[in-house]
Parts: sequence; C-alpha cells; structure tokens
Amino acid sequence: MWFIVGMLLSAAPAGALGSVKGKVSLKEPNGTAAPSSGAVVYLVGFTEPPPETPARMVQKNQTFNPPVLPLTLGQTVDFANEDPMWHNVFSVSKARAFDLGMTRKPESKSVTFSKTGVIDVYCNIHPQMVGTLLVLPNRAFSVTDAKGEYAISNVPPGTYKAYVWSRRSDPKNKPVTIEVGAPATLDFDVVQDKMIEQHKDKHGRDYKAAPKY
Amino acid sequence: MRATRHSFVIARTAGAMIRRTCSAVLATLVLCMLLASEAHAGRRAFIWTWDTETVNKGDIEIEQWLWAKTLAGPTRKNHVGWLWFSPVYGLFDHVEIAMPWEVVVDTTTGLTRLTNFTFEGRFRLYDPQAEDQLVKFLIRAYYQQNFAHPDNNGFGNKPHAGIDLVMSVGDVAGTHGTINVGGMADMGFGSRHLFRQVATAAFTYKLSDEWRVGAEYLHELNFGDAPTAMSLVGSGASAVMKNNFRFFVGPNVGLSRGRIWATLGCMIGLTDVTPLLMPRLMFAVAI
Repeated sequence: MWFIVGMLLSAAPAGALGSVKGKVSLKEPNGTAAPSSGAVVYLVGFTEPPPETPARMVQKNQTFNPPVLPLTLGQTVDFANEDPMWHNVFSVSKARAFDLGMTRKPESKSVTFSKTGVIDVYCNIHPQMVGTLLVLPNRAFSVTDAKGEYAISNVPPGTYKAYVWSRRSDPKNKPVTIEVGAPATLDFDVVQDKMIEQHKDKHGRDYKAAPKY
Repeated sequence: MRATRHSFVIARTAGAMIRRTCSAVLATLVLCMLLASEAHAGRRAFIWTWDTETVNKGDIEIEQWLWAKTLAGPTRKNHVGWLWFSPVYGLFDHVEIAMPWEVVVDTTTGLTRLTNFTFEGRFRLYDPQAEDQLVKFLIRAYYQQNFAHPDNNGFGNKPHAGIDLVMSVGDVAGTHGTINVGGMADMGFGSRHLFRQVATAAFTYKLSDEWRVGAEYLHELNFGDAPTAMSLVGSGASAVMKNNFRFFVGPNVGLSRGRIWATLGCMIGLTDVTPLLMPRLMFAVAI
C-alpha cells in the first residue's frame, strides 16, 4: 500500500506536460532559401498509444491532401477518393507495402500502420500524386507551416531527441529537454541535398503519359 | 467372391498407404509451416493448390498454364498436354473472376482441341489490407463446360460445377502453408463421375525477394463407378477406392519480377492408378 502511495505522490500532477516550438529553415545546396512548409519535427524516446480517430489522406485534385502526414504507431489512415476520376493508391515501402486497388468517389479504404517508418504513397494512374506518411512512436510531432514554424505540445517532461524530416534531406536530430511550465525552443537549419528520383508504378514500370482525366 | 476379397485387400492396402502418406505429408507440412519465412515472391505459389490471394480491384492479369500428365495404369508411358489460358480480373476488393479455356494437345499428332471453358469466381473472406492475419480463407466457385474428345476423362459434353474452400496460414503475398478442399459435381446423371472430391496441401518458402520453393500434396477421389449414390456404401465403396483414388506429391519453384510471375513444378503419382508425372508451368503478366 505504501508503494502505491509513493507512486501517487511521485507522479506528476495531471496535465503537467511540456512543449517545444521553433522554426525549420530549409535551404538549397547553394544557400538560397527553400519553401519551409511540409517538414516534420518529431520527438523520440517515449511511446504513446495511437488516437482512436483515423487520420485522413484524401485524393483531391489529383494530389494527396495532406502531402505529408505524420501519425502514431498503430493508427489507421483513411484514404478517401474525392476526385471524379479513378485512383489506385499504393506503396512499396518496406515499412508497409499495400495496394488499395482502383477506387472512385466516394470510396475510402483504410490501412492500419503497425511499424514505424517512412512510407511513400503513390497513385498507380497519376504519377504526379506523391504523398508521405511518417509512422512515429508517439503523438509528439508537428508539420511546419508556410513560415517553417512548428509547435509540439503535451509532451511528458524529459530529455529526448528531436528529429526534423523533409522530403529532400536525411533526418537531422538534436537533443531537447522538455520541462513543465517552460516551453523549449529548438530551431533547425536543413540543407536539402537529396535528389528525388521519379518513382515507378506498382509493378516497377515507368509510368505512361498521365491520363487527361 | 475372389473379386470382392481382392477389392477389399486393395482397398485396405491403399487405405493404409494413404494414411501413412497423409501423416507424413501433414507432419512435413506443419514442420515447414513453422520454419517457413515470409514469402512475397509471386502471386500463385503453387501449381495445383489454390491460394487465398486475388488481384486487387481493377487489376488485370493474363495467366497461362502449360501442363501435361502421363496416363495412369498400363499406359503410363503415354502422355497428354494442355494449354490453359485466362484473363484474371479484380472485380471487387474481395472478388476475382477468371474465364479460362483449355486446349488439349495430342502429343502424337500435334493436333489441338478445345477441351473446356470455365467461368469462375474467387472470393477472399478476409480484409486484404489487414496485416498479420495468420489464417485466411477463400472460396472458389466455378462452372465448366466440357467438349467431347478422347482425353477429357469421360466428361463428354457435360458441364460441371464445383466449389473449393481454401485456407492459408501465413501472410497474404506468400503463404506459408495452404490447405484446399474442394468438390466437383457433374450437372447431368449417368456420367462416369458423379462427384469428385479434391484436396491439396502445400507450403512455400522464400529464398529471396524473387525466388521461392515449395511442395504440394494432392488427392482426388472420383465417385462414379456406381450409377447411384447408394452403391457408395459397403462393397461399392471398395470399388470406388480401387479405381478412383489418386494422389500425388511434388516440388515447385517460383519466380516473380516486376509484373511477371512464374511457377514451375511437377506432381508425382503415388499409386498405380495415378498418373506418374504431372508437370506444370504457370506464368502471368499484369497489364
């Protein structure tokens, strides 16, 4: 019983969580500034259960919305077709390969992701459709806005590694200490030096010319 | 009397052999299922066993088989070949349809004849997007119209319909092990085979991202010596066992690369009334 009392006394008060915010500056290899939206900052070092509500990646205007979607390990993503034409969402990533077959509005297919990793998502019909899922161990992540700014809240106090991911660079990381009542600030400067190769269709072939529908 | 005793001895011997073989095959299958790793290569891992995978909705594959068999009994040195061809279409998430037609090749003259045309649907009874599903089921239902020729097992021009229940243990793309139980019945009375029951069991093992190997077991029981179902009881059953129970085992190897997969294997007959060899090459291309 004393053990339980001790645990209760040592536990942080309910709602005692911290936060971190900052800015990600993306640059081209020649030093010029690049659009800084769409980078993902996330913390590793603890795990959390996924939210019950599925995330959504919508096929609209022949693009994936949002184009970058971080989610928590074990979470489900609904891939909804809101376009007037067929789409075929697939991924050949090692973290989770899948093929949803042909869908049309308003069909929606769901996939649950049970391994952490980066998952590139494409459409087998429209080569310009490219999306990315980041399956992360917790809910401490944020996507940068148009200014490159991010904010992560509801983080348990502790010292973690903060990573920044962007499509054209390898992940970078820095240590960050989260304290209750004192939001941490952490900025990243990232040079986008990765070349993105044109992806192939789900059978490994080059795409034919994108259909006009 | 002699015929009855002879039939009984053959039936009892065949039954014991069948039980021993089934036990060995089952033990091997279970062992290999425990040891087998995830096998993603190829879509159809086996040459005679239906698996539980289907093409996704909207996908089309063109599939072709080349196969042959030696004839059973005293004519075991003779053989017959077939060409099987079918488009396979993913109609819905859980449903795939195929419309195969088969041509028999007379190996003596080189002449070909249309032997049958089939319409079949395969219904997968599991969520194709769910991961880590250990056991999956599929039902295959088919209707086949036969065309009379000397090598169509006496079906003549009769249609027949059948259903297969398939269970696989392992992942979707490359099953560890699969068990397939099916039955086929002729549509008309008075035919040679009133009902056929088929069962197969198979496993596959991944060697690399592209290559896999495996083995299969197949038995086929044809109920048809007696003109009525009542004769399948008692002495009728021994007559059935004598002439109508066939079983095989055999290895297979598969390759998949891009949008093409191929599987090659050979079933080996284990009784005198079973064809000695049944090699089969299957391949398909996704379009």
